[in-house]
Amino acid sequence: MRDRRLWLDVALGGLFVAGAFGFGVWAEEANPYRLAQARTVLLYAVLALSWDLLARTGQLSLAHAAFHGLGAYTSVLVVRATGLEPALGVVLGGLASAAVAIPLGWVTLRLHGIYFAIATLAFSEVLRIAANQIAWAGGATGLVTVPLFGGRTVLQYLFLLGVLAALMALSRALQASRWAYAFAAVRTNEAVARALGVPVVGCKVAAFAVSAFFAGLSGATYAHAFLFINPLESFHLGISVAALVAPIFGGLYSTAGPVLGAVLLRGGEDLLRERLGAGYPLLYGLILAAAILFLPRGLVGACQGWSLRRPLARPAGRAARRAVAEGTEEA
Amino acid sequence: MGSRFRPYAWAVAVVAVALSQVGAQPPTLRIGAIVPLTGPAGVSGQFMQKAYELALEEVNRTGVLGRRVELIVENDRGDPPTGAAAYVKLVTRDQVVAVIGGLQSSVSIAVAAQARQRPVLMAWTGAAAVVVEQALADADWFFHYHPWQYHNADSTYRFIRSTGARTIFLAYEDGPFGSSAVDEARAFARQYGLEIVAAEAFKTGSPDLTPLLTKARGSAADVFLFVGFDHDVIPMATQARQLGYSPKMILGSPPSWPVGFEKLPAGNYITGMALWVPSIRHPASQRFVRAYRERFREEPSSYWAPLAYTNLITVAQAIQRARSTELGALVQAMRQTEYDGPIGMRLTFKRSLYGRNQGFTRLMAFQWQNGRQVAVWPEELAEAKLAYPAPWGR
Amino acid sequence: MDTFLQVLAFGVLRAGLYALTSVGLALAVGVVGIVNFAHGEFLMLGAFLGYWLFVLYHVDPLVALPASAVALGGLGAVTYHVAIRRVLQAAPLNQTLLTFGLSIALQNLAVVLWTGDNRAAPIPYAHLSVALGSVRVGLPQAVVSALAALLTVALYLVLDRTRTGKAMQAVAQDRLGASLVGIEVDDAYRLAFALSAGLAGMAGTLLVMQFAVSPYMGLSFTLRSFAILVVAGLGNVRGVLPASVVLGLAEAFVEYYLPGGTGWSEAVFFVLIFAVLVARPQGLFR
Repeated sequence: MRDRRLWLDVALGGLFVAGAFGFGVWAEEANPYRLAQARTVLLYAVLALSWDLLARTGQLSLAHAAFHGLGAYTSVLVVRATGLEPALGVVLGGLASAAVAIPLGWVTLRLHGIYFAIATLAFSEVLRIAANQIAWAGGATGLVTVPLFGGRTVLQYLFLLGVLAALMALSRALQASRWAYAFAAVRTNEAVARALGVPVVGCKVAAFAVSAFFAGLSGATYAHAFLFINPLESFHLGISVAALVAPIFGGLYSTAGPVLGAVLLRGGEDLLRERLGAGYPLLYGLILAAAILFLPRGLVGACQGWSLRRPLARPAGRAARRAVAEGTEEA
Repeated sequence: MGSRFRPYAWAVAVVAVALSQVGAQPPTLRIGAIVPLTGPAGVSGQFMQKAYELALEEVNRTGVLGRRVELIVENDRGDPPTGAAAYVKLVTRDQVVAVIGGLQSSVSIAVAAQARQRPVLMAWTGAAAVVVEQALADADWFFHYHPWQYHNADSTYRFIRSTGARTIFLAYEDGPFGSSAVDEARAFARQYGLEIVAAEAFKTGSPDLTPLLTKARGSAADVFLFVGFDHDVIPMATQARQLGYSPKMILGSPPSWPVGFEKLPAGNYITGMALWVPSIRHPASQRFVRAYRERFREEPSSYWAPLAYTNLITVAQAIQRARSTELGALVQAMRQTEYDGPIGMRLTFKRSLYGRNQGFTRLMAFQWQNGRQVAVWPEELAEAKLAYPAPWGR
Repeated sequence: MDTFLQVLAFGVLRAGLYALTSVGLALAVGVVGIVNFAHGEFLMLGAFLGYWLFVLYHVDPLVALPASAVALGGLGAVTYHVAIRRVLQAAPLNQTLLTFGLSIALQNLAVVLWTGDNRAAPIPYAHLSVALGSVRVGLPQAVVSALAALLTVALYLVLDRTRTGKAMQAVAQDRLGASLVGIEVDDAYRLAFALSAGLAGMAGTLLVMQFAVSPYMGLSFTLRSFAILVVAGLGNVRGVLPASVVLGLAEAFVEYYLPGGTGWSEAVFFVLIFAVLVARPQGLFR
């Protein structure tokens, strides 16, 4: 039965990727505006899902701005210095972020919850201030760079879609494996996890590195799509916040939740802005607050709750097992 | 047979009627504007939007090429991806003949990246960072209204020189806005026989600037040059007075000044650089200020208002001159621009250090005197004399 | 020596400002256990209240303090009742996002009501200072520091000496235990949250004397308050005063004595926080 659920998810994920692929090919000629917006949505989806991977070990990170910025700066500086193809620079950006994440993850291992959040926030800010002072990295003014794939939006879009598909596959595979239980154990009770033989340090550092890799990739792609980086915007706190808002809104500790959250929040924000004009952020804030009050487990959680209530569809044991695997925190 | 085709016949009739309507009333001429209406730059963006409205009414009194002009304003929220997508929308969906507006550097570059793929006339008000100018050095469809950073610096040091001051203490906010003022500042100063004795950064929004001001006082420089945002000038001015810091001149150049600054006792005799202030003695400026006040019941207290007004008017005039909406013709027509508008300086487009079509190249100076921004430099715009050295506290 | 004393004074005055703006947040975190991202927005609303009272009715911010405490305290109680109360049991992430959404909404409500302009209130005595020997102390800063000390001490007294205060402490330590001995947990939380918002409001009203008032002014104070709370030890209301002094002095000395120091003082601030968290996650003052 677990297999069937896995296949259902793979089918849904595949359908999403195929649909997004078809949309990209269609929209290049027919609706370039929505394609340009969709490219940004994908950037956010990668950021959000990579954040969720780390969150599964219980770490509330505000370091995504740091990884986003590190990826962007690494790629832009390498491409400037060596004339490397931006596509390779983007990968290097991801690797650089992962390389920094490993020691950072190590140092902050002992911290939890808001302590971890503030430590990672401080780390981001220190990077921003350092980038501000380094003249060869453009100082506070920033740097202009060259476009990825010659600036063709559709290729950038498809590239991001590929990255997102890989990340979704990785995320789904993790959930289907024993790692899901290990992560859930680390999240809910570290001491117990250790006693059960879960490699807590390994779990946390590995999740941090993978998460940072994709955040760096996203940041570097952003840099080569919009062609300008500077410390203030590349390490902006708003990036970290955007990375965590989408998973919470869509549903934490899942593959679909963060992606859905990113699509609805970023796409919805664009729609609100088009329809409502200058007052739209007021409604946006209220929607966020209301979502937490009325959908505490996010959209995906609400959908599951709805389907769980149908007795024939789900044997009770499965629900219980899933609740353990997802470590739902309401006790 | 006949009945089978009846629906088609109807459709043809409808289309024909629609087409005849089009023939009777020429389609509007569309221009797109990209401005930040929300977020921290939203204040300047809202001034721009209002000034565009004013300019649009004026343009449509006569029309352009016999057509009515429709202005489509897109809010970029100060976010590069949103700005880039807005450009694509304006060009592909709305089929605009020109894109105007613009404020921040990052958004400008993201928009220009799209413009390279689908160029239309880009008549751009914003961005002062030289990286933007370099990035668009080869774009002949890019017309830039705002002075570049080195123009700002040149005006600033020329003005300081005209006062007779010799030494400067430079304090700048450490983001892109302030830091750009430090690049090559020493070289510019030297060119005018001035010396920057020290340059110190500060974080914008810092509530406490007293250590910085104490350092500046220790340097005994003639001029305290302060490059920060509008919310920074309040603690700067009040804390300078608290410490009894009395240089011969305090010169600030925030993008705008806080509402109510004129009533601040500590603000009296502080000097500022700007592209424009409402008080300049120039007929077109005075007309603009009057019209803006009447229409919106508020002061056009930011230079972004007359700049945006100038932006739309000159683009409309260029389209009229070109007698076409084809890009090459528009570029040629824009290059012939000679406009004596509310900014108070004649607008023409010439080559600049890197760029091809640069509009304004000079700032003016004013001093807060008893609750008013009084233009003091250059002479042809000056309304009163600069109080120098500033009679602080008197 | 004179300069040293002067810089010392700068640091202490800055500490007063920091303490004033963070003590409310410390209370919300310490008692209710909510990391309130909208703290800065409560402060901003207090500032706008002070601003409009001064500009429209010439009410001095010092006189407006009680009004601000009542208004923002009321808003805090309402916020608690409508929103916070429902997420007390939820994951910390959800609480964070709720207050974050609230913060965006309040900020933009202010933009809709009063535009995004920065506004200056022309307080006639804002630029005055007192000379203590060779040291000059700005009048508004002196007032802020004195009130910061007063309010913080008053808060300690309330927490230690009154029944309600003790109830709050009991609830903070053990929610279930407190309810078992008959403490109305919900009331204690509501009061603590209202008090927290009221303190933020008073801080905001006092800021009108020195700073620009705008819908966006809150965030930088929220972030700084988080940092101070971390140095103090999260939830440790008593650590706020010493933590503010440490940060205020460190910044002032770096800014004055280091060449180019004003650009680095922020880095000092964050490096300090990072180091404290990694080395002593329970805070320096516990």
